[in-house]
Amino acid sequence: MYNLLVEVLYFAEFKDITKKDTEKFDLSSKNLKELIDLLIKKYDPMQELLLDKKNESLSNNISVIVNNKSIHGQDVLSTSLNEGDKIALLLPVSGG
Amino acid sequence: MNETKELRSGIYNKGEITLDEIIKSVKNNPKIKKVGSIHVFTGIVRESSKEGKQVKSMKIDSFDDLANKTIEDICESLKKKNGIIDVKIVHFKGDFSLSDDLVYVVVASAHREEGFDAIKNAVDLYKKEIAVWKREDFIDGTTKWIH
Repeated sequence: MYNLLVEVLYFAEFKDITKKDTEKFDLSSKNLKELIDLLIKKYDPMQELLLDKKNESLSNNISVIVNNKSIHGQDVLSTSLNEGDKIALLLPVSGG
Repeated sequence: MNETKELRSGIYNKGEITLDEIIKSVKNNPKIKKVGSIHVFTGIVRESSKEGKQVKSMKIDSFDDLANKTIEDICESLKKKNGIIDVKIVHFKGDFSLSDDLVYVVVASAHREEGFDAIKNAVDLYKKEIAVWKREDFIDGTTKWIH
């Protein structure tokens, strides 16, 4: 029985770390913070990429995209998630 | 390829289309008789990183949905500028060797000055705005995603 199933899309470093293109996570709460915590618990190297130097909040380098829409605001970690949401955590881009 | 069909700007797999096909598509633009110059930029894999490390190969990853939308927006924005008739941006993804083509920008303009400006703008914009990442793989066995 699932609580809230969401899908994470991996790109660049995240794809190298996980060796996956996408992965589903089951959340008991309905916010982004739980997802970030689960990612860091499962993949140690993600902590350095996702969190600031104090490990207190999301790094300024990270852009959060939910269902192809960018999430802005002071408290991104409290963003509510819904069943089936597709979440991407993006580092700054570098076109060829 | 059907030469009458307009070629889509956006993300493609390595080698999926050629520069020649892009130029043919531009020359099929109904407004081609207004064009006095076609400008081409090709980004290729360099043998050294910005820090001077020897590059062996490169990987390009992309968030296709976002990147395609942003590329389309860049092209449409530039086409609104005076004298710009057509703009195509094609960015490849996958695994690349030294000197492989990574990106094509093709601009068709009424006069050369507008074309030179537009191609510089297009390159500056795609470099900083599209959801594409490149990883340099060095000959010493290390790798680095560029940001």
